[in-house]
Amino acid sequence: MITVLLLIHGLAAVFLIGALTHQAIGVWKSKPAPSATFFQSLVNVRGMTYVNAIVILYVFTAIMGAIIYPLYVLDVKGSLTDAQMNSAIGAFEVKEHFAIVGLAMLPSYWYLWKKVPATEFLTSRRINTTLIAVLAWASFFVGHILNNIKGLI
Amino acid sequence: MNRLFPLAVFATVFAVVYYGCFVFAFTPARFYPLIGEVSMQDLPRTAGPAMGWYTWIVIGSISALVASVVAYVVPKNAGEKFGAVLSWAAPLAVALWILYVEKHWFFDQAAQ
Repeated sequence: MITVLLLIHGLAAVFLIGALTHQAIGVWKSKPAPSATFFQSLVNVRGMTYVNAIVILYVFTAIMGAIIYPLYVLDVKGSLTDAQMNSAIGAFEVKEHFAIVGLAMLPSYWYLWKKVPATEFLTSRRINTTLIAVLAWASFFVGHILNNIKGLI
Repeated sequence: MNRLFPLAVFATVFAVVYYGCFVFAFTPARFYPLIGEVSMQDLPRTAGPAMGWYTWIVIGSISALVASVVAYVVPKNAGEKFGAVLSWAAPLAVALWILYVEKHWFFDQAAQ
């Protein structure tokens, strides 16, 4: 059962960072451009359409993480402590806190995209989106690496 | 809510209170996953490792909700520009605070 939950958590995280990366790249676009190349198509994504999906995916991924967290404490953290892998333990400490900081940002992030006109507070929208993307990517990397070190089995 | 400032206050207070609880070890209740119990007291080692993460989230979210309701009384004209900056500056500051506090896991040789 825990393997299934971990897989769902990981897959949701993949969808999340995919959407966030698209949006974070697109939000820095300074002017309209033709979608002639792959990168231009990537930049031209309509970030507004990603917002609700990102919020739902972020909350869902966080809830899944919260469900499997006790098993990490019981199974994985003890093994890492025994092996004196302090960097791995510390990386997870950073991940658990980063995930919550990103979670706290979601209401203002949603508001900036959905309620503020596109021409207003553009810098805040860009930095909010990029910061949440960075936090999600950092959490994903740490989770993936820790799963490689010792999975929840 | 139809204003940015209270939502920025929510993000700020949630992040600061949550991580403040961790840094200052304010954990009124702990979850013991080995025995599946929540306790307001320190249980013996036989109860297994304790988790404070859920408690910090609850304290942070309640504090943030109260603060954002209070922030709602700030006039819209006065708070929106500040809220736009606060919405990312405070979480960024907390993220840097986290990295600073947790750096001992990576650089403190005594902990290795």
